[in-house]
Amino acid sequence: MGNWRKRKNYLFVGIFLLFLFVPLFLRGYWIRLLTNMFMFAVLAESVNIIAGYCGYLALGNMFFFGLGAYTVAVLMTKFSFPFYCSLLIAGFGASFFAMVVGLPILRLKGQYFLMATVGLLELLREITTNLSLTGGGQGITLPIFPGGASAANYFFYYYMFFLMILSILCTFYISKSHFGFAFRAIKFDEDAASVIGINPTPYKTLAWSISAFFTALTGGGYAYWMTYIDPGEVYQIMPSVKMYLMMVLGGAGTVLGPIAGAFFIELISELVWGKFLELHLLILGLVLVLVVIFTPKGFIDLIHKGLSPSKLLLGIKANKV
Amino acid sequence: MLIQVLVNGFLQGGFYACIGVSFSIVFGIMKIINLAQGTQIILGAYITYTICQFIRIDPFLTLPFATISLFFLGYFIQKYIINLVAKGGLVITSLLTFGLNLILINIALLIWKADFRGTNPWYMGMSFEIWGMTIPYVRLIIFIIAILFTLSLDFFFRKTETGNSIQATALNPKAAQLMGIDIGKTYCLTFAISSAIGGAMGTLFILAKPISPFTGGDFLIILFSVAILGGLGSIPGALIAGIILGMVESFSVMFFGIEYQKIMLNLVYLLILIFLPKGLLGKRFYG
Amino acid sequence: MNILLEGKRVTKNFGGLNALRDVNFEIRRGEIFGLIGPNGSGKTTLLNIINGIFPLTGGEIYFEGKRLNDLKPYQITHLGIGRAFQIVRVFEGMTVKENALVGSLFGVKERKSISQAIKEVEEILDFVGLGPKMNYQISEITIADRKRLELARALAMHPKLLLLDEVMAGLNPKEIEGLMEIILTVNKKGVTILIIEHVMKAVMGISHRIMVLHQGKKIAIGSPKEIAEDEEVIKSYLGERFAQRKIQKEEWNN
Repeated sequence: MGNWRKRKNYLFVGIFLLFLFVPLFLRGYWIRLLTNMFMFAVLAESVNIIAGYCGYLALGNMFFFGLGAYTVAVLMTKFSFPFYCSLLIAGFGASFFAMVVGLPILRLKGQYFLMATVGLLELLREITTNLSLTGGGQGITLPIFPGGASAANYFFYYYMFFLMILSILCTFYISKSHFGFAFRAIKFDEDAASVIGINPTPYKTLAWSISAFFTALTGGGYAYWMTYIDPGEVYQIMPSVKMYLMMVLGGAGTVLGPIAGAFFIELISELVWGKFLELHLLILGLVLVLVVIFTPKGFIDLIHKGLSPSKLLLGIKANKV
Repeated sequence: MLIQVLVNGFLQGGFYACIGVSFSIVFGIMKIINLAQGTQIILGAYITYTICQFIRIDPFLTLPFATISLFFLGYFIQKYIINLVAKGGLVITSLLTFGLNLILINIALLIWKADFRGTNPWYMGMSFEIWGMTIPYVRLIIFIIAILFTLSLDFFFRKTETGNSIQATALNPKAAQLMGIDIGKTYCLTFAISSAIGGAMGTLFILAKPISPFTGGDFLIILFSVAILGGLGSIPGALIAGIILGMVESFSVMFFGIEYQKIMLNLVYLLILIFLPKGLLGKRFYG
Repeated sequence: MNILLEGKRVTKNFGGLNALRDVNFEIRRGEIFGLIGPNGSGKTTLLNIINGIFPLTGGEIYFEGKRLNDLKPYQITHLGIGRAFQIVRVFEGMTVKENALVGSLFGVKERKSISQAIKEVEEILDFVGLGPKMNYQISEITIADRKRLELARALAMHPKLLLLDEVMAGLNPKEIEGLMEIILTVNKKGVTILIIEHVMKAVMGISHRIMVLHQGKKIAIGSPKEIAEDEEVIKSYLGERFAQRKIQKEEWNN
């Protein structure tokens, strides 16, 4: 086992270095593709913290993305704040928002919580569309990144890359700390957890705040990268569902599962679906359905148990009615 | 003026109640959030549209076709797809229904394209006057049919043996199984009924408004709201909830303007979730 | 402080249902206190109230002099009350060891490091006989093992008072003996125990005192011997007809 561990570590370092230096050799298209992959990786990992570990299925978690995007956009355009400053405000603002909104919303159980987050997503989109501060339905145009498009490409590649690393480290820390135990206990049986001595409220709120933080930072970066955002784009349910798909595919409640899931889905997304535009909803839907039927516990789990057709079929039996 | 607003909302509410019921029974009985329900409704509408393209008949007469087609579609979907993951828990089932939704939308896109489609029945703009109010015929008939469906469903669940066994399955699946009830079939039947009603409502919807493959998504918040406000699985509850929702919407359009309609609906929805999660009647009807 | 847990006029209503009516009791430090009664007599409800899962409708409960009435479950746990549930509530997605770790890490107010907790937990798991299965998933162990895990998790919380809810149900005689041994050992180490049980041999065998509940009311309290001979108890537990037949038998013998 020791050898495998060592080899795993070398593998990770290798991949890290690879991603670190590879932009020097790639064209813009590939850099943007990888950036997208990293971006979704962060999103999937953030959702993993509240949903995969803590069991609170915030299907509408994307609204933190929109909040982050708009905070940065508004601060930079209307108030001329510098980028990093806006980012920090976006991140901590979103965490704060999670804490405040979490008070009533985190008290809801399972389905209700899920539906509430979807409701929040819709609500925030509608409010943003009607607010003049946020430019209404026309959206906001941000200042151009100094150095133009190609400098922006490199910058945001590393931005999303390091954000992803940060989220991985954060999740790793959680998984090894007593927070991880608390989150998982809450997921498996919240009432039993409280009788064991865990006060669920601060833990759930913390999980959601962390998730909000990373999601908002992603949104903030996205806004500056794209230079233009509108409500329909950043408050969309589709990426939210994609995040879940990635998390489930890779393995909810694991550290690297969502990352792997994100890479896989985003890669396929770009390469295959770009060519089949009119079928892309169908294919995404099919992938969702198939993943959920055959690999409910995710890739990582499947790898641990050994890939084989019989195992796949066995997997269905658990959830079948 | 006020009464007109009330009545408009009331009539609209009947429609909301019925679609809410179709969503609520799946939610209440199988604990599944069917994110594809909106699109199933729209499919019913498309069936009506397509038939009317080929045969010159009154769209109302296509109601049985839409209903029955969606019944079989629903049964098929439940049997071969949803039943495979029905016990999997919230994420799994929600992702599945979302995936189904995408597939259905794409199919609609391929067949009918993205343009808005509508029917234009000859009685479209006609209305009658009563007590100083203008009531469009179409709205009234939609209301009546929606209520009829809702009441029949209630009767079905309470007074027939099949309906009772479905309720039993909701309350305690394991015990129901021990009594010889086939859970898989029960779920199929429930989903099929939900789908059928959705299809019927789709037919009604396209009488009044045009549709596109994406229109289904607009229903989502309403479905959620009615289901929760009415109490999971409770049909009388959903009826009251739907009508209330219709009237709230109507009022908010009058007072705040149509731009705020969606915001109001969303806000109301969230408030319901926070303050009345068990619905108006304060208790869960099924389970 | 001889009295550890005290209940005064404890009453609990669920809507129209009176689950507990004016129950008075005290549990002394260091004893094993049995709680018996027919199904539906309110035993589990009483435990749920002690733990803070349900609020009291009337009356009060004191633990070491502290009023428990409005405290939340995790606060009550931190005061020193541990619980093993009747329908076992272990955390399904975790291993045996991880389950016990949760109890160890969160059952007491003071923080401890994970490595420290692991040491404690390994000892406790060995003690209840789950040593070899420490890294098994919950799905891989038997029901009897799950009950032992419930117990281990509760023990990991270093409770002063341990609430055991029908931990012997579904066990074979050998397993029952084993569990009785464990409970006695735990008690000797200074843990006060409140045990609900239907397995008469067990509860009569190890309890110092027993309280009998029937339809939410306390109908008897005393030593096992006193309880066994109490007419009210026999009537409520074993039915009127049995009591009649017993009386007839005695008359016939005389």
